[in-house]
Amino acid sequence: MPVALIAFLRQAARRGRSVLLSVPLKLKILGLALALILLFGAVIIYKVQAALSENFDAFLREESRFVATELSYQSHDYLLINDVYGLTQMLRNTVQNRPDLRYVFVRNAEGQVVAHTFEGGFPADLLGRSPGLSAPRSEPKLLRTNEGSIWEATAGISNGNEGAVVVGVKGDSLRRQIGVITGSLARTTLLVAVFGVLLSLGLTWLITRPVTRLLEATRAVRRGDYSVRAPTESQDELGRLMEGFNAMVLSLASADKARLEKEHLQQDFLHRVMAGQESERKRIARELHDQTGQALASVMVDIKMLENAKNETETSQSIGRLRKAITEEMKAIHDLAVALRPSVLDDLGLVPAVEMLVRGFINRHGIPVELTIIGFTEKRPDGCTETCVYRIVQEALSNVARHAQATEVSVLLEWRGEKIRGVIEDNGIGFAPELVDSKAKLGVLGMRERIQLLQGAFRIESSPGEGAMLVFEMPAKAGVCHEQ
Amino acid sequence: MNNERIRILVVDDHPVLLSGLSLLLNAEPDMEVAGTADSGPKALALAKELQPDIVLLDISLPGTSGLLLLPEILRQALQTRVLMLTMHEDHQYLKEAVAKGAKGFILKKCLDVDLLYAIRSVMRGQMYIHPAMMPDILAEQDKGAASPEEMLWLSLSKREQQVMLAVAMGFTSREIAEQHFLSEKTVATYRSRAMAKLGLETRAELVEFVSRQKRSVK
Repeated sequence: MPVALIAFLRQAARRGRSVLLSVPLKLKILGLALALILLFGAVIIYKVQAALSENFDAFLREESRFVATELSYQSHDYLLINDVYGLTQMLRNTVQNRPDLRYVFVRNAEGQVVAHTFEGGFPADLLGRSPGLSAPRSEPKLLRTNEGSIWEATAGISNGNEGAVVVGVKGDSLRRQIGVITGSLARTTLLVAVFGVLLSLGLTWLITRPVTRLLEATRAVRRGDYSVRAPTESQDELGRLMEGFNAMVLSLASADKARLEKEHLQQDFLHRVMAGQESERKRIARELHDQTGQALASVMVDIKMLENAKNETETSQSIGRLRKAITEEMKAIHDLAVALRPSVLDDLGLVPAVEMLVRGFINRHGIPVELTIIGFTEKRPDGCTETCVYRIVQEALSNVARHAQATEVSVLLEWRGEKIRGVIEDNGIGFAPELVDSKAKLGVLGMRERIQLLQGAFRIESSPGEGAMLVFEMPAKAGVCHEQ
Repeated sequence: MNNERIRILVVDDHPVLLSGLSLLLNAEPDMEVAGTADSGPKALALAKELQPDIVLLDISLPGTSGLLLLPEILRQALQTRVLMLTMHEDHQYLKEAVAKGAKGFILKKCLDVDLLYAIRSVMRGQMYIHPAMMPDILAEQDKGAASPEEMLWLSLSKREQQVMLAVAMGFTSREIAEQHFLSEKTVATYRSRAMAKLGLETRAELVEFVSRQKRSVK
C-alpha cells in the first residue's frame, strides 16, 4: 500500500509540476499573490473569531450572573411593598437598557412568577421547567431554546427566602459585533486581494513585457532581421539577459554579414570559374576544329596527291609534306594537352612538372627563373597537394609574365616535416594589393580557394616598385583528396 | 643472325598505332611482332610468356604508366630490352625511364625515322636516345648535392644574405639601411621576404639558422 501511495504522490507531484510549468508566468504570479492574501485573510478571520468566541461565552455567563444578582437586590423592595407593577416596570427598563438580556422574571417565595418581561404572557414550557425554588445562588446554565443558546442565571432575593430573580442572557448584540468584525476583516482581505491582484498584474507586466518583447525580437532574428534590439532599461537579471541577447544579435549579424559576403564572393568565384571553364572549352573546341581539323584535311589532300603521283619526285614531295603536317599537328596536340593538364605531374610528380613549367616560362618570356626545390627527393605528396602547388606556381608565374615586368624571378619550394611551403618572388613593378583588378583578383581568389581547401595558408606581399612575393604553406598530405 | 628475327612485343593502347607498328615491323626481314598488348596486365603476361627480345612500351597506358610497368616487365623477362615509346619530349621522362632500366627512348613524332634504327642499335647492345634530348640530359648533371639549409641560404640574393646576417648580428633595420645605403623600407622588405624564403618567423630562429650555416661553411 505505501508503495502505491508513494507512486500516486509522485505522479501527482509530476502532474502538478507540469501544470505549473504550462501555466503562463502572469497566471503564476497572480495565483501566488492571490493565494497568499486569501490564505492570510482566512487564517486571520478564523483566529479572531476563535479568540472572540472563547471570551464571548465567559462574558455572557458573568453578565447573566451579575445582572441576576443586581436585580435581586433591587427587587427586594418592590416585593416588600408588593408593588408588582413597579417591579415589572423596573425589569422592563432593565431589559430595554441591556440589549443582551432576553428576559427576566421574578418568583416569590412560593415559587410563583410575580413579574416577568415576556410580551404576551409567560411561556408555559419555562414555567414547567422551573420547579420551585432552588438554591439562593446557583451557577448559570446554558439553555438550548428555539431562539438559540441562552445563559440563564438565578439569584435568590434575601438569600432566597423571599423568592428569586431569573435572568436569561442571549448575547445577540455581541454576536452581531463579532459578525461585524469578521465582515470587516473579510472586506479588508478582499480589498487587499484586489490590491494584490493589481500589484501582481503590474509586477508581471514589468517582468513579462520585456520577456514578450525579447520573444518578439527572437522571432525577428530568426526571420533574419538583425536590426531588432531587446529593451535594456532594467538593471536586474532580465536587463542583463537583454544585454546578452543584444550582444548575441550583434555578433550574429556580423557573422551573418561575413558569411553573406563570403557566399557572395564564392558565388562570384563559382560564376567566373564556370565562365572560365566554358571559354576554355570554347578555346579547345576551336583549336581542335580549326587547327587539327584543317591539318587532317591537308593530310587527306596530300594522300590523294600521293595516290596520283606520277613520278618519284612527286611522291617524295607529298611524303615530306605529310610528315611535316603530321609532326606539327602532333606537337600542337601535345601542347594543348600539356596546357590542360601536364601528364608529367601525374607520371613523374610535382618536381619535374614544376621544372617543366619553369623551363617553359623561361623559353616563352626570356626571364631567368631561379628554381630551388628542397626536400622532395624520393617522395611525393598526394595528388591534390601536387596539383594545388603546381597550379599556384603556374598562376603566380603567369601573373608575373602578365603584370610584373620583372627581370628576375625566383621560385622556392620546400618540403619540411609535414608541411610544404613555397615562395614565388619577382623584382617587377609590384602593386598595391588592394588595387588588384578583378581579373587578377579571380586568379588570386582561385589560389586562395585552392590552398584553403587543403587547410593551407597563403599571402601576397607587394607594394609599388618593390616587386611581389607570394608565400604559401600547406600540409604535405591532404586530409581529403578526390583526385585520382 | 639472318634466320633469327628480332622478336618484338608492342605495348600500346591505340589499336591503329598497334596495327601500323605491326605492319611496319613485320615488313622488315629481321624483325617480327611476337605479340601486342593494349594494357598493363596483358603486357606483363605476354612478356613472361613470350620472353621477347624487344618490348616497345608506351608511357601513357590506361590506368597505369609505362614507367611503372617498366621494372615489372624487366623482372618477368630478364633478357628483354625495353624501348620507351612516347609523346612526351620532357627529359624528366627520359631520366626516369633510363633510371628504371630502359634501353631506348623514342619520341612518337620521330617514330617513322627512329624506330627501326633504334631497335637495331639496342639489339647491338647500345642505348638509343633521340639527339634532340641530349642537351637536357647534360644540363641535369651539374647540380651539386647541398644540404637543404644551404640550398635555402643560396636561394637568397646577395643583398638578402647581407641583410639576414646583419639582422642575426642584432642590427636594427635603420642601422642596416645606413650601412648599405638603402631606405629603411627596402631593408624591411628584404628582411620580410628573406625570412619568408627561409621559412623563419623570429629573430631567434634566424640567429640559430645563421650560426648553423657558419658552422657548415667552416
